[in-house]
Amino acid sequence: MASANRSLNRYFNINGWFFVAPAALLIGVFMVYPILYSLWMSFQTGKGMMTQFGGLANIRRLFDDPMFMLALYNTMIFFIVQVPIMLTLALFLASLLDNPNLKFRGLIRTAIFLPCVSSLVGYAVLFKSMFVQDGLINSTLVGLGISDHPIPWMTDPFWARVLIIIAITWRWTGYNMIFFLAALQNIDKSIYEASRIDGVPSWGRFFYLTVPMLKPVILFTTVTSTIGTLQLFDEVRNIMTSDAGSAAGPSNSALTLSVYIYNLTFKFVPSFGYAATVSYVIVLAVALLAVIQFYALREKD
Amino acid sequence: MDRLTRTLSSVFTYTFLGIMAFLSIFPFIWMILGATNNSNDIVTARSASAVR
Repeated sequence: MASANRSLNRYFNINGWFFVAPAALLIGVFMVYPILYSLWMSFQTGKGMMTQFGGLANIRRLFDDPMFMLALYNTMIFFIVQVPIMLTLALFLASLLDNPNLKFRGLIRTAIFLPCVSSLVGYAVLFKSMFVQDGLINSTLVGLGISDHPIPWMTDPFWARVLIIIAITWRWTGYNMIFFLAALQNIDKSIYEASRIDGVPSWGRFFYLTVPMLKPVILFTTVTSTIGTLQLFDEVRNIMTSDAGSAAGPSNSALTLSVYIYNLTFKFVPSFGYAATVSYVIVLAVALLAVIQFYALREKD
Repeated sequence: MDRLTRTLSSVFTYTFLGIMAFLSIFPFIWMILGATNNSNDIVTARSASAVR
């Protein structure tokens, strides 16, 4: 009996491995191997394919590289400013749309969600055409008297960053709103009824009931938004590309870590090893910020 | 007072959601408008004057 069980177990084990093997092989070849190879490359120095082991030379180079520091600074500015604005707006919109008596609820929800189905390059080009010096936005702002001169969205470092923040917020607010809305619809409405009977004001219900119950979703959206912002590439590359060839805005004001990696690999003299080191900075930054966010939003009994 | 608060809250909700919905779909409308213009019209911003 025992030997029959053992052979049956072996049969299921072999069958299990047989089913998992193709997926495991593909993950190994296309994910694990490139990750490990790029880690190995991050210790290589040299130009193009002429590389040799350089130890920690690339890490030392990071600290002496003003361009890397600028890219890190810009990425952090986008992260610190854009993520809170977007998530607050998404949460606010979701709580307004959670009202079952609201008219045109489906229509408004669809309209706000629509931007996230647009292609990244497509919307970036569209925003570029709308925000150029004599484009629609400046014509409207000047025409309505909101601004007395066209805003230099593409030529001023401050406004270039503002433009990128507007573009990302437009694209991703609806996406995050859907997560909040789904979580809000799962909250038992009798809790709100009880708090209303107890005389809790609406702001109190929001801050002391809704927000604590949405903590897991807030954590999820914060982590995914952090990852997205630290990997910011398409918008900067497409909105800020000028005829002169710069793809990082005026005075590199929109240069992000991902754009810098692209430049190191494909635009400057190829430095694959150093680009791999900068890539690992993004990995470490994402991991560090995710740990901080998990700690800050952990469940407290 | 309660009724006034409810009305004001309703006005704020619909106005805010209306503005957000408009801002969300406007670039798509602009894209469709752009698709009906030839490249020269887009470069010289003539499509913008169609909206103005």
